[in-house]
Amino acid sequence: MTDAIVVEGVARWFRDRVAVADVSFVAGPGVTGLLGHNGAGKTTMLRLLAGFTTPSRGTVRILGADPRREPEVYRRIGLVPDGDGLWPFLTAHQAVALLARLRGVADPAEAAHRALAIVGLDDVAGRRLQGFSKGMRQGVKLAQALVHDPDVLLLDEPLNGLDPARRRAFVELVQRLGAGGKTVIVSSHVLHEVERMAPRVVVLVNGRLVAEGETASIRALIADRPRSVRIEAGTGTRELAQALLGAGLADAVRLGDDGALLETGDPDALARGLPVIAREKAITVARIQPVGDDLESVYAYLHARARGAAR
Amino acid sequence: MIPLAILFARSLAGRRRIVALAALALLPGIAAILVTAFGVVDNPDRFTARLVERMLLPVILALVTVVLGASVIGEGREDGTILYVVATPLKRSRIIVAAWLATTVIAVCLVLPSALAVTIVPGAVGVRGVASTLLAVVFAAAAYAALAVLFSLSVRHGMLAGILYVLLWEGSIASFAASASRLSIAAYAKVIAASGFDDAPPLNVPAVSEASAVALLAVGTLLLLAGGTRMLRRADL
Repeated sequence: MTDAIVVEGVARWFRDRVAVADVSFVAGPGVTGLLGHNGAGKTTMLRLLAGFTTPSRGTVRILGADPRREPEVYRRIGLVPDGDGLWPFLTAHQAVALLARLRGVADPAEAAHRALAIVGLDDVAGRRLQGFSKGMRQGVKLAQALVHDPDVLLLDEPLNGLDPARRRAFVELVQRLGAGGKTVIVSSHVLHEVERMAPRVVVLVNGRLVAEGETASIRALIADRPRSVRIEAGTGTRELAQALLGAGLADAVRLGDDGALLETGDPDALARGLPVIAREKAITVARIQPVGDDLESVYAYLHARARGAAR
Repeated sequence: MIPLAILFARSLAGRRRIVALAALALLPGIAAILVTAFGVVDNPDRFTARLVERMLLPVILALVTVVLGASVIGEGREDGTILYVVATPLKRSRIIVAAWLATTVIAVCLVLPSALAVTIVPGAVGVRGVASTLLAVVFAAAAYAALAVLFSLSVRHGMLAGILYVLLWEGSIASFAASASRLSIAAYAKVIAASGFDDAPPLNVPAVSEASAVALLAVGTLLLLAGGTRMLRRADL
């Protein structure tokens, strides 16, 4: 079966700023997560896929076509862009029906009703978009993406601004679409969000593809990375650090004025062993703080790892 | 294409800027009414001709149309709504023509009251003068609209570029230099309008007939629309 989305050696730069660099991947039926920190190039990548910008190098094919040259393919593509813009003077139904009509749907009014019902907005279909909340706007954006029953869906941060109930409903809807054979690309900077929707993930860091594969394996890769933990135990810091190093719970130790920074490849073992050793040595631990556990650090690790693999 | 043109027209008409543009468009008409009311017009035919040639066509109509034309796609790019339009199987030329059509219709509607007031109120111009002025307004608006849509896709600050073009070129250089007027939309529109005025030959306009001026504006508009279509295919949205 042909992959619905084929990206080959794509780069996009804006003057001297590289937004996407030498990215290649394919995606077929099912949900693929496009994961990366803010500014990683996810939106540029989706814009390249949607044909809203031209690659500086490389090629993008959606269902075998280049949307920029062959707009007919938009009959089979549904898109949720990242912006909030919708026509404020239209009702939700008018907006969705109009876009259905422009995409050649036989009965746009009925299709719009169906699409709005799918996203749970059929009760406000007659209201103007002007008064819609962020979550409702996201719903309308998703409805217009679904209204022509496309084969490929490109969703840019679709969960942004949603309340928990609507978020859950959206996640289930995306899962259903993927299970139903649609090719769905969904971008996010939040790993656990992508994890719930996409069995497969593509990770971008600073415009480069740094990891690609099953979401569970990417999660394991992230979980297995070396961690840093800072401990503060007053005058007992040095002794405790040496004991942890001796017990093999820390791979390296850096002593500072007010504590020690431990490097470990097994943070769970360190978490179990540290209190035991501290009790044995009668050392009072004032503070234990993971360092570099934020998402930026995770992406930085994947980036460094990818660069290492490339060398 | 018509539903899209209606959508563009509603987008343009729904913005607050339309009130300011409507007020601007009324200025020539108000001037004609005031000057006629105070009885200071020696030659009504020439007064009408000069108001049409120096104010209505090269400045007021041009500014109103360029601001609208630069907004129709330019503001869609800013608020992201143009993405929904582009992500349809419509031919890119149809999107451009829809934007152009919406701009032209609204611009003509805004300037129409002034065009009628300027030609009718002083009382010296007959039906032919009214008709030629309206024809000039329509063809000039069409050309300005096509140019503004092209600006909005090819220049970063399309509206600013359009306003500068109107003030520096149409309203200034091309109005006073006969050689430059060959590249002026307003100059050909003046030729069309002047064909309805008996006693007021237009100043600094190309030596072409009314029919040629109509044809040149039509061809120019088509070329500008083709340029807009090409830019839409290449633009980063």
